[in-house]
Amino acid sequence: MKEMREKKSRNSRRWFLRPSSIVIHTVLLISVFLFLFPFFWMYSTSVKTDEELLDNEIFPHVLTFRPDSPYVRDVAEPARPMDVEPKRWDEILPTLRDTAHIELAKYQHAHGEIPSVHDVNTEAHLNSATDLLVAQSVAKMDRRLWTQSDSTLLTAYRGLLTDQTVGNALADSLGKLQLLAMQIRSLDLHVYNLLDNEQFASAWKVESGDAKLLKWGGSTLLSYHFGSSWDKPLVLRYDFTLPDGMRAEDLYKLSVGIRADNSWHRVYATLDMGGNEWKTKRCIYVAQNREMSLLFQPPTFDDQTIRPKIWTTLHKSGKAPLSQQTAHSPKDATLRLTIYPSSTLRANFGKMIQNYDRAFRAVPFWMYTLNSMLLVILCVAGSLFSAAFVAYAFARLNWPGRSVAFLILLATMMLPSQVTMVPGFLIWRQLHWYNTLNPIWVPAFFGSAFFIFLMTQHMRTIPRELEEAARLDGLNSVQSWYYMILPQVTPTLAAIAILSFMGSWNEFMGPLIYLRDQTRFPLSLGLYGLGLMRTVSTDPEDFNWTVVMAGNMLMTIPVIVVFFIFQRYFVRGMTLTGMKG
Amino acid sequence: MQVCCGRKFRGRSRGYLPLWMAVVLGLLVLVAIAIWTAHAMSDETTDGRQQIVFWDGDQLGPDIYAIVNQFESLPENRDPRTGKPKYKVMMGSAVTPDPVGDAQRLLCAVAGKVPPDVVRFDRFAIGEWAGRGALENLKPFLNKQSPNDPSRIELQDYYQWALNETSYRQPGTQGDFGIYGIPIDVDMRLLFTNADLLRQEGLVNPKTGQPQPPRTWEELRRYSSLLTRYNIPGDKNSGIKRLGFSPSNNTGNSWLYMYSWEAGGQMLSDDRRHVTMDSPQNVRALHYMADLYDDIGGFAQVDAFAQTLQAGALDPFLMGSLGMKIDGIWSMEIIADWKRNMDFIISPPPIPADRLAAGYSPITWGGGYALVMPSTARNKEGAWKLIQYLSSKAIMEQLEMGRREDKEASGKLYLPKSMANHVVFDDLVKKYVDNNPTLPAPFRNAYKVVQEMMPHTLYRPVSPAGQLLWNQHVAATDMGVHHAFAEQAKTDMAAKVAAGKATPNDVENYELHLALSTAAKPVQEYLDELLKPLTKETQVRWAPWFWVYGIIVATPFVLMVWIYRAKRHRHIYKAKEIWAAMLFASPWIIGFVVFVGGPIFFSMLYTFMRYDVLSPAHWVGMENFVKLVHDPYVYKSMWNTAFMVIRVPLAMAVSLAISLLLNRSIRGLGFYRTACYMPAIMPVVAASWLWMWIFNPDQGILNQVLLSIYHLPPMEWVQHLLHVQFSAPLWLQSESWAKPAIVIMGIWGSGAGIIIWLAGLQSIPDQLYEAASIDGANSFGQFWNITIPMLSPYILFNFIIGVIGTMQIFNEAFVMTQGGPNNATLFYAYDLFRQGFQYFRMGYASALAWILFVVVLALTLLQLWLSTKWVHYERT
Repeated sequence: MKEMREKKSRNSRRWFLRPSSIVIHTVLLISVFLFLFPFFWMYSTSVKTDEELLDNEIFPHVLTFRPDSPYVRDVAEPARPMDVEPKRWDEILPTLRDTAHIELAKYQHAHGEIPSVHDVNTEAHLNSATDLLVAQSVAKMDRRLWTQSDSTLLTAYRGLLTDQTVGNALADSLGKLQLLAMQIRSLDLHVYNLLDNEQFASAWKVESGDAKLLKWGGSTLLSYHFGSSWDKPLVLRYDFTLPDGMRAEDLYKLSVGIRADNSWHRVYATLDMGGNEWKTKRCIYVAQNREMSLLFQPPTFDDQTIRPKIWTTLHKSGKAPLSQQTAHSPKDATLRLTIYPSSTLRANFGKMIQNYDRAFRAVPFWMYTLNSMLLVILCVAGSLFSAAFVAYAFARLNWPGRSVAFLILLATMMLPSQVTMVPGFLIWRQLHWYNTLNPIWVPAFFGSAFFIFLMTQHMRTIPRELEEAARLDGLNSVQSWYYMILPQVTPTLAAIAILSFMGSWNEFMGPLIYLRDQTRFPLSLGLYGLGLMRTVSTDPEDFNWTVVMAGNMLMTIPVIVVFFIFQRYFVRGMTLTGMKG
Repeated sequence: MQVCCGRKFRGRSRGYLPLWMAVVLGLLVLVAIAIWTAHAMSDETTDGRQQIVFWDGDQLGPDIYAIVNQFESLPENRDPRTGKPKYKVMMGSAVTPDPVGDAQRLLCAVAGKVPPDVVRFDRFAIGEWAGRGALENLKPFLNKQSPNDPSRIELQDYYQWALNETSYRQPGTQGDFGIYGIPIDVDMRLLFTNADLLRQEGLVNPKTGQPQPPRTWEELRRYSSLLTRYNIPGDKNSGIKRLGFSPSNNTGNSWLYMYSWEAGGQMLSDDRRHVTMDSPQNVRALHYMADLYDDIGGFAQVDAFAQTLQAGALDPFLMGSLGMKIDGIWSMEIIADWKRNMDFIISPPPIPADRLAAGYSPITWGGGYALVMPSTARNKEGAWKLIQYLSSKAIMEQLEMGRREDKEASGKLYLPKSMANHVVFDDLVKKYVDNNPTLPAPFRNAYKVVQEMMPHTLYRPVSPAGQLLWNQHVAATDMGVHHAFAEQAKTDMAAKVAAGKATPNDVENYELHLALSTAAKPVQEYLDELLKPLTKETQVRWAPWFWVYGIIVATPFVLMVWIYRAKRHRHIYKAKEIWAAMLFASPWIIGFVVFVGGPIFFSMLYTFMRYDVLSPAHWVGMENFVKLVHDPYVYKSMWNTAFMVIRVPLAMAVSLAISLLLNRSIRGLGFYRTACYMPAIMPVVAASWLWMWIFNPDQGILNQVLLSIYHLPPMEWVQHLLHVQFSAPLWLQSESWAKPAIVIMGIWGSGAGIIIWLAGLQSIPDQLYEAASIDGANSFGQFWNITIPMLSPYILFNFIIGVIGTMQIFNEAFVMTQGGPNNATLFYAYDLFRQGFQYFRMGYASALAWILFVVVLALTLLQLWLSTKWVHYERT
């Protein structure tokens, strides 16, 4: 045994050093690059945010820890408009910049810098805003102006720097966290508006952490500072009374509308209401510089449905602790939002799994996976058995009409399946197997022509002597199939296992026509049905490349794993050579 | 070869399951499966509630589940005695890649008499289904509504055109129109303009200084040329860098239908019995489309540019590489999702200047969805109640509230859906648009235009041949803009032109008329066929054919016994071996007789029928085959498909070469193997998106590599010597390169072949190589004299399977090219699919299928016959 291992390792070392083997590795690595590239591309798309998709770059951006908010955003250099000569552009750009800078500084001076618990770097802010303003303004200019004199160009340009555009550029070049609106919905689907914009500043309190709620430009701004990524979290607190006509147990959902910065800090919520304490277990990321609503929902009928889960569930964690209980009446309630700082690592991790998380929550993922697994196991088992069993009759036994039967076997593959679909459907319907998985896996046990043909070709290469010896030894044909032939065809069995796994895992048409009930869908159909796997989307609104690619990745990974496991069986030594002696 | 005796052999193979145990285990598993299956079948009887099966409801909005819940527990939907809910709504989705043209799911369910009770259905398809009696007329239900029903449907609340789209009566008959669906939403096509680009071009209103979108055809054409930029400035053949406007369906959604209406034409006569696709107005419309393309470098250039474009965030209009487009209002959502601060203008689509001057107002065309009830629905009362409930104003608004929440939870801008019920729509606009100052101004203006255009919205005629008419009008456009009839027109009109009686413009009109009339012919024929129903005498009675099938299936067994008897004395066959063979083959034989053979047999019968699955079949003798002989698409698609066979040996060679490398003992073998197999694993969606990008003529990686190779010194030298300039092909957009492109894609994805080669390579005994190397054979000799012969059964397998698979090639056309450009990738199976499932001509599709079957069978027999000369089997 030991000797063998030594020999083997010596062998492989020799292999590796040979020039021919270097050539082989090079060739293989090139083909690996060609073949793996798409997969890599699929993966990188799946970890991008929507905005990054617009950038058309291969790699997603890397985030860093954000200690402060508001902060100055990175703004790209203004791009040269298509019709402008590069030389002219380079000459005039500094002037355009300066002009914009002056206007911005003037505006800033008149209105003051954004309020904040720390200092915003005014110069950096002005520079960022300048880039933004120049880019926006030159996009609106008549192309003929660029061939005219500087003064004409600049007059037109100055005309575009209005108070409104200047103010917007200053605001847009900042990352900031604003509170916009708060609503409650009751189970009978009434909507109660609790708070709006500026009202937050007085109604909400900062319970702990270095932060302030500030009125700014008609809205409420949350300015905060974290000393480090392991700093204590920041807690916001809001005491309120449930609206008239609504009891604690009527709560359907609570939504807080915010405009997020891009810090990827994490929000958790606690709700004390009616003497109970509710907590979220999952965090929401504050990210992507856009308006979003945080939806919190205690368990309701929604959880029983298979709709996309867009909300964060509030779990009952017991009675509210008395010391914190402000609620004296059952209608008093307290909402706390706890914001934990995300370190560089945590923020990037959050960003990476974001689309996967969305794909998971868009469908009853585990239910579909279970259906798929059931289907796959039965299909693979059926294909392996039937192919190995039936092929024996075609390859090794002599019977009248064999070649005609073989031709019929092949012929069943030749008729396009489209025309046999409807009569096929009627048969399964007659068996009362509509809306079950049976029509999809039962045929596997009766053998598919493709696998039987493949197995027949392998069995035909096995020497006759094997069975003759078996027959002499008194084995009947089932025994000699089982003991003599089956061990010989392992590589083909492995091939069939892989192919049928892949086929049934990705099976689409069968489930599509035979399953009525969404809870019985396999993953292939389930992901498709929710607009996650469409190529031609008739509703472009629900078309989301990043999530689609995340869904595709989730579909692909199991197949890779299965292939990696089964490819081990394609090794020399399992076949006849092992029979010597 | 020395083989040990059986008993010893059994003892040797430790860990190998004894046979009896395997049999017992197998039986146990079978029993378990049987029990589980019986359990799974118990679905029909639930808790005594009546089921209402509702398909594609999830498309109405995420709140539909809550609303359905509410519906079940309504007081009027409870049993008066027990107080328990009466109905159970079963949600299902009608998941189809293209809900209009691909109805296998619904078709099978209707044919199998297990249809859903309510479906959210594209109104465009109503004519097709209602015309074949598959949908329930809802008029009686509407008339029966009591005046004080809280969820009463008031038809006057709906936009008239949307209602018309759900109304149908057999063309040419008199009598009332039936109403086959309650409209839900509406869409329409409007002109989207990038305001900044107009400013850059100085296309502004001189008074206000604001960008001025085009109002007439002539203006649109001028604007398009002004806004278009080429890779080399001024050189139209260098490829488009920025597109001003094109009528391509990849840069918007306008179609010939729209231009035809704008020019005052229509596709069907008012009584819907005559195809008027080749009317002068339609020639004018097509001429205008061709001009739009020709102005900016021709269709192929525009299409090459347009194919690079993607949905969602990568929409070219957002990226600034498309100046204007005529698109559905749904694409406002794309702007809202990805670039909400974009400065764009929505305006009515332009019409010809002369018609505008003559006082015609701009028009648009719309569509949308409706709730329908199949005529075979099992719970019609419950279905109607559900339709009524979902159509009520409160519920519509509640569904919108759910959509809004869904959008805002992911940080996106909410835009109200345009509803077919104008009371609801006006309400929503007031609430979320007019009273919402945070909504950017371009969106607010857009809603104004949408509301203004509602009375001027046209719809496609409701016809049982609607889908064929649609596809043929697309085909006509394709032929027209490709100038497929230019040569013919030139020869036909040569005399007139020489005589000075015709201008080049007349020649082009004549050419486009040829395209339109060629495309119109099959539609007219089909329409005539549909409107002349067959008599009862020819109706098919199925029952006797089951007996025929039984006899056919039994014959081989009788024959087998007979052959055995006849040859018994020659000892060719042994009875014991035959019995064993029957045992081993039994799974397949049973499967064939019960599940496979029947459908094959009946599909053969279909070839002699006119059969649309939805209504009774009729015998028509050889009609389908006669039609087939005269169908130009058959020859075209046959040739396209035959061309693809070249990929079989190519893919085999590549995958065999890789497999040979992967069959060695090298480090990282598992990794290499998995990597090489990856292309076969890639989901079709991802793979096709990827390849569309790779083949992209402008930005695609393939052409970039090619171009950089062309600029290498030796290639420059060759080009100089030959006085040619190599250019990179347009791949999927070029008629001559589309098929090779698909061949290349097939070679890349030949990973599935690797598995089979590897399995085959393992079946070659090592001793053979050892013996050969002792004899001094080099590695090529070993490959040629051992590997190839020993692998020959696998080569045969791959070849036969490859040919069979390629002759049925379908996905590439379905997903990537839809048969284009100019039918260059119209594959046989794709044509067949369209006939069967889009035009409901199952009989004709079966005839096509059986012709293909005969061809493939002949090819396979040929291969099998040839294989006796080169395939090496062990003796049997």
